Amino acid sequence: MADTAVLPARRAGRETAAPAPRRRRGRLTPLLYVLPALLFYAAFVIVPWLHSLWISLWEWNGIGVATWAGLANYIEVFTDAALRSSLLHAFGFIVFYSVLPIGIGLVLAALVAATPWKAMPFIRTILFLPQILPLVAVGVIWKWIYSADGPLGLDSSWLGDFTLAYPAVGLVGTWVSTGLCFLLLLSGIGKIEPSLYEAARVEGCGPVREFWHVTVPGLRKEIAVAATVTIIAALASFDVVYVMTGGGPGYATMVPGVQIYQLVFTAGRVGTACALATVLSLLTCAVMYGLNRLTRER
Amino acid sequence: MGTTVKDGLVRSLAAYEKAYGWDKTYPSTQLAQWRVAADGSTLGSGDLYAAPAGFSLVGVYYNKAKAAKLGITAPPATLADFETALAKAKAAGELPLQLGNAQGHAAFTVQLIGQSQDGAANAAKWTFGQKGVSFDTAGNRAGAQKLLDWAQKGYLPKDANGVDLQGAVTKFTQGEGVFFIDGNWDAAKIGDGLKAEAGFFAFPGAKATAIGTSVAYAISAKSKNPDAAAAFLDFLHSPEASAEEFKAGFLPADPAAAKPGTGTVMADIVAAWTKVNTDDGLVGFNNNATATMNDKLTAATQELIGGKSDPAGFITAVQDEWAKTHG
Repeated sequence: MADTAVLPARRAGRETAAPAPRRRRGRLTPLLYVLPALLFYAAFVIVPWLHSLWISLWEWNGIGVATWAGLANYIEVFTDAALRSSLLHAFGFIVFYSVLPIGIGLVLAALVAATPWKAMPFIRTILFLPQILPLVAVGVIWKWIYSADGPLGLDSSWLGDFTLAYPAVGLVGTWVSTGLCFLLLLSGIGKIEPSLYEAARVEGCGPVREFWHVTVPGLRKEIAVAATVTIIAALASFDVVYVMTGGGPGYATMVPGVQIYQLVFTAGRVGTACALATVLSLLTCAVMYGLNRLTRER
Repeated sequence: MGTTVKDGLVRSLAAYEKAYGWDKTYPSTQLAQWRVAADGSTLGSGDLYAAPAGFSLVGVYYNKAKAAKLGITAPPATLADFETALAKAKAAGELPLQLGNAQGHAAFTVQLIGQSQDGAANAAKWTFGQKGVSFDTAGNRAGAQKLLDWAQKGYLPKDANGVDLQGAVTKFTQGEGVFFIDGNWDAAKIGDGLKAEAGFFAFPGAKATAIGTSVAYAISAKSKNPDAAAAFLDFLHSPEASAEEFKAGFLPADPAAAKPGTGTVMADIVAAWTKVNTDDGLVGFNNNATATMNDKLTAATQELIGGKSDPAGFITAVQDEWAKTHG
């Protein structure tokens, strides 16, 4: 009893004696823990990002002397039809990389959770497999599948068709992302309170209403994670498009990733490339902010 | 090339050219591609900045067995002859002209038709970026129109836009296609595939013209031993170096240094190379006219074949891209 009575007093006394350093040290300690990660993050993410922001204000071929361009590169990003359409294509990919995989993943996860199959580990592996393949390999395989010599027995390659090339490339994104979304959502379903399902059944809900009113709301957090990961993949897509079409036919499948690559390495327009990259990263951040607002727990 | 000169990264070879007499050793079109004018973007005149080491050559491969079956015994001599041969092939149920345009190789067809009509010297001016020149010439208009016509008549594979160059080479060696426009870099693969049936000729026209460029070496502006480097550049056209270049699949500056086996596709290619040099008909790739021209030609030929634009739109798109650098 004596101890407990004394201790607070002592603590209080010390605090009044030397309050500032102690509090500061208290605040700095957590920072010390994140310091190694923060250093790496700064060196390999923040500094290069600021550097490319700086380059985007110049007209530079990557080797020679740069001349000040101000905002001219940014004006070009929004006025050049080819650059603007590449941004639109990236946003269109959200349908294929995020909306479809999450939709399919939700349905599959709900079905699988309702009827536990023995073949489950096998199905899970198959569905997740695309996620562990290098995207370049994925692109090469699908290029063959879509070709006239491929297993689909197509009359002519879809990748050479102005109308079909874009959805064809997009569907590869769906194929890659669905496994990840499915696994994420399935693990989430396991955490939903079983009593909620019982209550729904008692209230007379069928499987469809159960899905909409219990499963989907219960997976809010998992859906948010899946959307975050896949939307970033959609906006940053490069490998699959580069390998399959290089942005063609015409500019039908051009995305910012491929465009930035071409601007830097073939056109020697590093400033414009950095401006496009900056615009893309800001748009990505804006979308992520919006997504966080939407899916935050109320 | 222009960029490295503009930024002062490579040394002018003017003095060495004179000392070694390269202007007399090489046909003028072989060196012209490595001359850069003072503005740093116009090629074809001015100081020499690199010396060639082995050339590439784009012409027409053909399947001799299929051609013979169609009654085509000699390579077509004019564009009209070539079109007749294509029509014959189509009528016989063959694919007349193999093509992979996923990377824009239909641009070769347009350029070959264009320069065979406009003349190599005129066509070269555009690829060099000389002031006041336009892509809108009778030859190029014909080239774009023919490409579209051939696509519509079914002379080209239906999915050309979805097949890349190597895919087309493979199809051609498997017997799909009577003719195939491509460069000497695929000669080994085509020769291995079609054996004695593989043939090659320079694009038909009044004079032999071809698209081609060389691997070339420059001397760094920072080089401490430029004289020794220049001596090496001079060695590149020696008989020893020429033999090695030919072995590696390149055509040597002096056609006489190439010794292909008789009856091989390489023998045809060397014969075409000799003819092109005699007629001074070598023109650089349109694709290299500006840094972005390859990407533009890829997209524009895909749009033309895919029916998304017309020959006039194609010409305008290409010229506008050119004018961004040379206008």
